[in-house]
Amino acid sequence: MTESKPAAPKARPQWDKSEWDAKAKQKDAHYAEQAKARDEALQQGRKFKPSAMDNLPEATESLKQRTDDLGLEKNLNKTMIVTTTAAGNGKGPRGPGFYCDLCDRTLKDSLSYLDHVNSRYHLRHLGQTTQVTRSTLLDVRRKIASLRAQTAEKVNSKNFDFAKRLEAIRENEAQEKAIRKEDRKRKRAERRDAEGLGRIGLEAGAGAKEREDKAREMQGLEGMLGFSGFGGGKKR
Amino acid sequence: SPQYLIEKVIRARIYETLYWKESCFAINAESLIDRAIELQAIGGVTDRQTPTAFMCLTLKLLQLQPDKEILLEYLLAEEFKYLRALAAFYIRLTFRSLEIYETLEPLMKDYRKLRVRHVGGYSLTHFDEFIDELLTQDRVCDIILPRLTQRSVLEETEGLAPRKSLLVRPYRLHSALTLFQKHWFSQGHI
Repeated sequence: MTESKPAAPKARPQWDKSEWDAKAKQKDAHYAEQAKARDEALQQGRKFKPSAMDNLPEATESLKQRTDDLGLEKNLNKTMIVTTTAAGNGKGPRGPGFYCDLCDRTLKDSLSYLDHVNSRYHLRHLGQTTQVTRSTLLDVRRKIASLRAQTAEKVNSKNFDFAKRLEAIRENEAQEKAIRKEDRKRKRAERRDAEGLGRIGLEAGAGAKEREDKAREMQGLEGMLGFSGFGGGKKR
Repeated sequence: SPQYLIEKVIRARIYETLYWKESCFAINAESLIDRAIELQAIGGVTDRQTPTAFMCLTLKLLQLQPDKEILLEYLLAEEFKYLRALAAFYIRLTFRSLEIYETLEPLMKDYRKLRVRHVGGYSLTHFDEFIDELLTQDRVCDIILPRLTQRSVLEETEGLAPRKSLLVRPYRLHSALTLFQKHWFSQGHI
């Protein structure tokens, strides 16, 4: 059996052992802490509930409405190449679906994505509590007044542009008419041309050279026969 | 809790809709007005038990429980008829019987058209028809309405003013009657 070695051996993946050692030590410390907390809870008769939100800072702002559109239908009916980052290789979308970069989570479904975006975990990352600020009577009054002003403005602006819009429509119609007239003229000219060619016996799309040849032929025929030639009548 | 005024099945359906999760999250009484203005129809559930946006906003109002003054402000915004319809619906669900009669009966002046979304498509109703349904029917927009004490009972016990129909104009009544009398007697009836 012949040994078939490749010309240049592939570089094997290398990793920094000390870095991964440190990571492993961190994990061990974390588990040790958890075990201690579990013991304490057991002694005190409580239940131990490890939460993913333990290390995050407390939320300060009140719940706010989202200002920008989530874009759930942004990629609808589009074919894209999916960016994949293997787990443990850093932050990024892990396959197709909706990616939340704040929490580094990929969700496969628009409903579950919305569930995540409205969840306490995500809000904690944003720094928002789950209580929304109650609006007062004055706020509501001001809001309604501003909306009324907006709708009134819209109605006025439509009336103002009405005359302008009519003019624009008339212009468009006139233009279209002119274009149609030109088309018709051109078509008529072409038809007459083709008819004429048909009488001489040429095809409809005859070029200048062919017309010249035909003209000479006709002259020759006239000389010989005394008449112009066959191929009469309308174009077939 | 006032959220339980809407029965469990429909409430669960509302919590699962895209509209609830996307547009009805983190709004207060002020931003709800923006949503209510974008409403295109009232209605209960449509095909396959999907609730309408109107129902989602009603549940949101029940969650928020705004003050009475805020609701009356909503009613005062006459140009936005779907906001008004939403406020009327909430009032019927939460206010006391006396207050319901006092606030909803003047709304019958409004005869504008409302679009109703139901299983299979849309139909048309009027604002005063909608208010009448709220005052007389048991179930409007697929929600069972709480009991409303009868008007006569309230007139006796709590001193509610008797029903004033908006169709009758009092200062013309006398002249109409005398005209009728003249006509009747001229025909030979005694």
